[in-house]
Amino acid sequence: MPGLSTAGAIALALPFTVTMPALRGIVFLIAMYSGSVYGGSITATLLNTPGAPESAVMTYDGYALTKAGQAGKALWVALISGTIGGLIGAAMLIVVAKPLAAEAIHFGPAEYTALALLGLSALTMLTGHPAKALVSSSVGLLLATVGPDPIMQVSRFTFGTRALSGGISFIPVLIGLFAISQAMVLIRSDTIAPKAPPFHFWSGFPTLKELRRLTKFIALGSGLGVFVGVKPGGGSVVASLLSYSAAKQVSSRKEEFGHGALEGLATPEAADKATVGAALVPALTLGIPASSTSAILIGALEVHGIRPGPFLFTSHGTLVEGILAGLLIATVAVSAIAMCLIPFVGRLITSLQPRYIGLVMLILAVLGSFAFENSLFGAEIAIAAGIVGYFMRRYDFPLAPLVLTMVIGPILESNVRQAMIIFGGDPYGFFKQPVAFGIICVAAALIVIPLAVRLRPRHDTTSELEGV
Amino acid sequence: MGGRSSNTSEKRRQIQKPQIDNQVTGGAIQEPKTKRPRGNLAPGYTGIILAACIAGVILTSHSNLKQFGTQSDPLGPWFMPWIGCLGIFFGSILLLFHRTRSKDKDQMIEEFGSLKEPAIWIALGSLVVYLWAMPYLGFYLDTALLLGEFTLLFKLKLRSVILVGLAMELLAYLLFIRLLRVLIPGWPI
Repeated sequence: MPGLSTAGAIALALPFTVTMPALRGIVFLIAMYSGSVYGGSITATLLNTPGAPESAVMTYDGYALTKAGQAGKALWVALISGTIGGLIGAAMLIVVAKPLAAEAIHFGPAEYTALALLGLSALTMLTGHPAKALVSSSVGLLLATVGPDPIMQVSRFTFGTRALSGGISFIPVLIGLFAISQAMVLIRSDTIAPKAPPFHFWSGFPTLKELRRLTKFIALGSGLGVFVGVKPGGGSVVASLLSYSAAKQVSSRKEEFGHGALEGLATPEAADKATVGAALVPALTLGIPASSTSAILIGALEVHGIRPGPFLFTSHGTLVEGILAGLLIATVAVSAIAMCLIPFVGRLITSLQPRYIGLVMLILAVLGSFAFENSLFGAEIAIAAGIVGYFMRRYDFPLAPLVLTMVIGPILESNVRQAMIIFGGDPYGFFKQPVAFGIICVAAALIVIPLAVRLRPRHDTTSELEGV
Repeated sequence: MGGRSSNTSEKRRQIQKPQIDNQVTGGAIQEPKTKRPRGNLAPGYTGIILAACIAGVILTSHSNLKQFGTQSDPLGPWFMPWIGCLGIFFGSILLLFHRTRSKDKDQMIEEFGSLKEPAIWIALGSLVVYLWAMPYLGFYLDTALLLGEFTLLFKLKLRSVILVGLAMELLAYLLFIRLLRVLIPGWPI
């Protein structure tokens, strides 16, 4: 659905999962996550209007194929490569999560501090304009400090009110930032829902030769998606852009990119879907979200009283196994459902006008934030965050760092203070811990390298990325 | 650096949100028709200075400096708020620096109208009023008023708004009040 982002849709759905059993609720959200990532590509291919930012790359070759009367083939390629990418991402989660969690059990406050710093530095440097991301994440850090501090229980920024004494939950903030602000954008937009051209889905299945040609690119996209998806701040937007650029570099048909190259469609789609499973690796094993969507999943677990982290695998082993199985099933099920629905999707999208979708989103967001805490306070926070989010979007401030820092902030604070207590107030203690020191070096590199690249003599690298 | 990063930011935006308002009619694909109301991409000086001032006021008025660095807790409970405020402060300075050096200060974001449009301010303000009035008017009446106001403000189709409103109120009743047992103030108290 154009305009309704993945994070916004999942944020809206989160309150519905409160009354569900934990596993059912999480798998419901994961399935939605997986489905909306693919759904964004359908509108990008058919209407040249990406349903979500990460699907924007799919407009280059997907829409070119649609214009050439090959929409069916484009949708099949996206579906096949997305399914394979999603399964590789899920496999990555299954293979890596348990050993990583077993290793992370030995992590102390110093290592967690370093991991949180890594998350924050990645968020700041990889999410758009660094200065704006810094402001956004600092606001998130401040919001996370409202309420009692984690060590001495000193009350902070409560302004004497009872409502703030327990702190600000990030779920209403998230609903406001992503759903309400987006609803406001949609309501005031005067765009008309585009109409999908007629197409034949079933007859568009790619030939065996074409599929064989695409294998390398699907593998490339999946690999890059997994690599980028695991890193905090990486996200599917970066993964799809990077994989498109990489596919163009390695392809022998560079000139076809942007004019309907199947490789230009398959690679970013595989990368996009691979990030779904990959983003869950740090979220489940370390409790550190890699993207806004994984932050929502962490929030969903916390709603059910489950704290993500290495102990999740020992204390809630069955739940974790259920989530892993759920991700695999959701990936396959989304593809099967998409196969059935794609022929009708053009008509479905045409009947929905963005302005009225915005109205529905707005009311659902207010009700959802109300339902989350069963009080008006949650809705008040959501509306305030929605207004702030509207202006943040307007001035191009990234929203994800604010929400992610609200999750990472408390982890950072409690661990850095515990570490300093253990080290007797000596900050050099961090450098005596090899794992923590290594992670801090990576975090520093994430800040220094992009800055060094920016300060280098100019040549237009962005044209290489877009190059279409 | 400033000019280039701004350029990069603009190009990225073009990648992420290409041609939102394209139209295709009757199966024949037309080229995108873009309506681009003007908006200023970089935040104004006032906004930046205001953000820095707010950060400063919060920092100085609500943090107890004496609680820094005790024996048992070397960093203390006000360490993290300080870091947050310093982050906002340095971020604001960087933005100010960037804006001063940036050549293209008047870039546009497609989806947003000008802040001079009163409808935007009225709509945002009415969200606050909507929430404030909900306990007094009840969810159903309050929502109907909000939808009515939006219909006038943004020239929405009355029939569609009524349909959306009825569907949402039914959903609120069945799903939230009946199924999820949310204590929404349905009617005026």
